[in-house]
Amino acid sequence: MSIDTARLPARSSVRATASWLLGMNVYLAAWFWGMAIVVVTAAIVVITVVGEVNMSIMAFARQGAVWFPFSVLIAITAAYLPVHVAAGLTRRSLALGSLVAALGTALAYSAAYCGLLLVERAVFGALDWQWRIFDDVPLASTDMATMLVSTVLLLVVADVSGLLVGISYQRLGGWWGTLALPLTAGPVVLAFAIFEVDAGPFSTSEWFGGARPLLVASLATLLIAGAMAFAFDRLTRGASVPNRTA
Amino acid sequence: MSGFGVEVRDLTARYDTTVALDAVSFTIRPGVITGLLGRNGSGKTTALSVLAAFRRRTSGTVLVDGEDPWENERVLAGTCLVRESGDVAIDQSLTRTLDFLGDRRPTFSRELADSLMDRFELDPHTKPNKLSRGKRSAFGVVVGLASRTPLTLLDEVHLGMDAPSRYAFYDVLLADWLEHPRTIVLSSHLIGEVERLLEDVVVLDRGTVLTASDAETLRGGGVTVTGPADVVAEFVADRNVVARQQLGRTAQATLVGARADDVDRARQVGLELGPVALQDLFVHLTDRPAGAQSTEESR
Repeated sequence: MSIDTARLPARSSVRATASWLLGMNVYLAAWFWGMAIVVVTAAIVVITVVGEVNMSIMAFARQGAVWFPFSVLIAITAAYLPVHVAAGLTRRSLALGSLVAALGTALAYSAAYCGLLLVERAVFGALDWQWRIFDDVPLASTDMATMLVSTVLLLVVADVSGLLVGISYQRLGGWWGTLALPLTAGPVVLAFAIFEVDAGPFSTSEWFGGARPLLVASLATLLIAGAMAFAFDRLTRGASVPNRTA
Repeated sequence: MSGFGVEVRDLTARYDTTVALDAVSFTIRPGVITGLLGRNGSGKTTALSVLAAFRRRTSGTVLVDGEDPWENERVLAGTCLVRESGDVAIDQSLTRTLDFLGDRRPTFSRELADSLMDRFELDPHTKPNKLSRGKRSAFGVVVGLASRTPLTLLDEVHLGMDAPSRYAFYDVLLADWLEHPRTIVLSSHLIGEVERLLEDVVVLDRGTVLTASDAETLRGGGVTVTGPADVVAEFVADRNVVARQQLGRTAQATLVGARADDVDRARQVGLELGPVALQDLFVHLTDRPAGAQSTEESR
């Protein structure tokens, strides 16, 4: 029997790539949130012993939820390119699959974060403790729906940024990859600033007459994420597969 | 037709200022096992990387099954390059890697993969970064053969494997190729071991093609002469001798450039003529005068 020369993969390679990368990220997310629950619980116990609980502790996990998947996606981008191309798949499917996975990762972390905040709020309410999110994130703290939207968008920027940092180092090397960080990782800081309506250098509450600051911040963040996704796609499609030792 | 054919015309590939391939042209026939031979730094890995779209060419034309392989979904799905470095997820077990490939490679044979895992005594639950070099190479062989792609490129894939494993690899490769004919390109330093497998040969040297032909034609360009040492010495006196061996009073010389009257002359003086070893021809073709060694790094 000879080899059939005209067969294509039966399964969409974008879907296969996205689900594989997403599976890996969800696995790591489970570890992350498991550890976060342990640390937050321990912190609450300590605070109740030495003082009074008057704000959400889980809310502080947001920084970790931004930077942990960001770091994971840098590493995955560097390690997965050779595996993907060697499996006979295109860089196009890698770029699209990675972006879908980044979006899914952002949604998963945001849902876990907001879900745990709700659980924490319920527990605090049952124990008659004051529950509020620290004061310097007013846009995010207005209500849980706003918190969810702002967290999702912030994490989308962070996760796409992780992909972009990874592929930039792959394409440009150590020096140029580092010098490009203001462009590749800087947008995460910018997104943080955009959602801090009354704090930081970007007062989005004043933009466009100050009406609907969440909408303005969301559109600005989506624009940033779109530009980064485009850059990631372009860089990935031209990437060579480096030689490495297993 | 079984397998992808390859057409390379004026292919140039550069790494910054280093020219890895300098306007090389060659053809790989579909359904044939071709040897890609060359010394370190000759451009073998670069050539295979361009064919598998691992890297872009600088200029020239590369057609795999009639199409440019770069970002070509059909051609990439039908091409498998296995490099010594092993392009698999190093933190996943071998069995998960096989699942991964089975899910993505339309021609992947899990049955063959499992039988090769047994043959090479690979623990499916081990991770690649826990394997010895020889076992890692063996896993590369498993991936390359079980993928059963129309174009399979094996780049020094048996480095580090012990002799029994290498011979098992040669046997399996030939048996599976006979059952599922496809195009296989085998890059190797161990020419003596693989030459029986090769139908065609492309020899690269310092980024250029020294020769590209079928192995029989290449072998026909030379001859071995065996007999009494003094008679052999006289027979080859004015000839291009690329290898000599002597055991007691019996000598063997390998000549390049066979002449029409060689058979008659040898018979008259009682010498035996035989086929030339591809390895001797390779050494002759790629021999460099002392001091002329290429400074290029292994690519």
